[in-house]
Amino acid sequence: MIARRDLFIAAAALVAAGAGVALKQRREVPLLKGEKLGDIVPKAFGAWTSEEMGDPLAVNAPGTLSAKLYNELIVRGYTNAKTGAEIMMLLAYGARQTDDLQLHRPEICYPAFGYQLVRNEPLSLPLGDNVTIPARRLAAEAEGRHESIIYWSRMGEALPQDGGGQRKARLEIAMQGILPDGLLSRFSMVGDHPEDNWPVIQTFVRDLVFAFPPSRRKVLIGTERANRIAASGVKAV
Amino acid sequence: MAEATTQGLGPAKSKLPFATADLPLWIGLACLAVPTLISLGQQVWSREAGAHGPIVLAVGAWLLAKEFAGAKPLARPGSLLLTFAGLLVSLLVYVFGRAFDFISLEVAGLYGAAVSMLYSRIGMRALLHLWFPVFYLAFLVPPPGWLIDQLTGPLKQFVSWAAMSVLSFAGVPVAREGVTIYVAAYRLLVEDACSGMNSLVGLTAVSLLYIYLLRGSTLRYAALLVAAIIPIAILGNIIRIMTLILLTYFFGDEVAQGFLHETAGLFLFAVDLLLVFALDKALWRVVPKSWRRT
Repeated sequence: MIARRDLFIAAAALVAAGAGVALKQRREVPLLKGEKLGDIVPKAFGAWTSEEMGDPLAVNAPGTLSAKLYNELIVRGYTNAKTGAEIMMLLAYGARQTDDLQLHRPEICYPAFGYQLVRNEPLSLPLGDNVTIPARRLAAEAEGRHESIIYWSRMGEALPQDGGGQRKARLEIAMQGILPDGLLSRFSMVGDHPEDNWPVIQTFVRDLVFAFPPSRRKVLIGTERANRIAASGVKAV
Repeated sequence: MAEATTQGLGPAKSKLPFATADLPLWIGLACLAVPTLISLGQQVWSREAGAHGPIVLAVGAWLLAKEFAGAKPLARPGSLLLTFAGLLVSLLVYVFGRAFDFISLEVAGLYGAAVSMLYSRIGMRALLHLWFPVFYLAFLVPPPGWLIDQLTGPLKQFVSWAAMSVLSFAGVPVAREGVTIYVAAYRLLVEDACSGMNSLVGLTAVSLLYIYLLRGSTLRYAALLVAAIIPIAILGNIIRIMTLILLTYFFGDEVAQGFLHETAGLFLFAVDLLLVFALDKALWRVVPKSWRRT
């Protein structure tokens, strides 16, 4: 004879298994559709020209974690013809942000690569007309190398500003039944005066966003912000 | 065999052989476990951080089966209230984890549901008798990646620094920049630097098993060995990186990378076990006699 309690337990398990299947999110809503990020990002704009680079901080060899995390990794060095300033841009795009394969944040990666974070603070990067990017700015140093960094992360339509925010954003998006895509946008300059470098990067970022075709800006900053800057008609310098 | 089973179950209403009466529980458990095991296989187990998963599952199941005979005489049906309270919480966690893609919660929920079912069948005393296999199986729950990264990130640095220092002292031409290691003409990146020392959990699981299987030891002695697990895991990683550097130096990049991807997990386990074994041998001679007996 089979105990009645066991039947209840089994029934509860079946219900749970069914609920898990029914609720599991499936819809993928990528903001980058059928295009290569590398083709969208302007290779030159204003006084800036660029060349493709390799990045020791995100080596994308087959089989590495980085290769599994990111579908597309773009590393470019931009040089300003007028000022001679050099900015390295890293864009890491992952089409499916799952629990164990999601963006790795630079404030974790830089220390892992032997850098010490001297500064690490949230930043509202102005794009104009009350539109800002919730970003972070870092100053890192390792064995005589100094870097000033500004980065932000996009997960679906959210731009979480720290690790906790990223997990929260992923949960909220999952509850809407969506499997989001994600983009890490990181910009860095070599030099030990972050206070001087950060404004240069900020201006670069603003000009870069506006140099994007308006319909593609959402890949960088999400649909809402992209629409707001398009509507406000702010022009890049 | 069948007789002993029925006897062990004494107060249970079932007069059928154990297996048939348990069928509903097995089916319920399978419905929960199969999708989760598939997810684990596709995600966690295929990476270094979770490579120990299948081993833990197999060993845990084996231990559970092995210890079960001893628990049977103690078996009484567990309290109905506690069973369903445990089951409810576990299943909610499971559904949440599964629906919204939090693999750690999903596995934790599955684990809780399985333990609740076991408790329902055998009661608290028998469950406590099985504490080690039950505890051991908890290692199947993958800790969230961000947590591991934060806890072990700094260790990673130390590990690459230590490996390089030893080799450099031994005359191998190595240089280091962060976690990038230059050896002769090659550049070596200490794998997946953004993640911490992934293998720590797996190594702990393996070491615990070894300690548990050492039946002749006292609790105090076992505790001493447990305390050594983390240093051993770190040492194991240092040895792995040194091996990698030496392979690169003598046989070239391809051999080293091949080694790394094919056997990294197994190699680490082997090294770690050997270290625990060696430590055990050494300690055994040093500790007071009273510590050794059971």
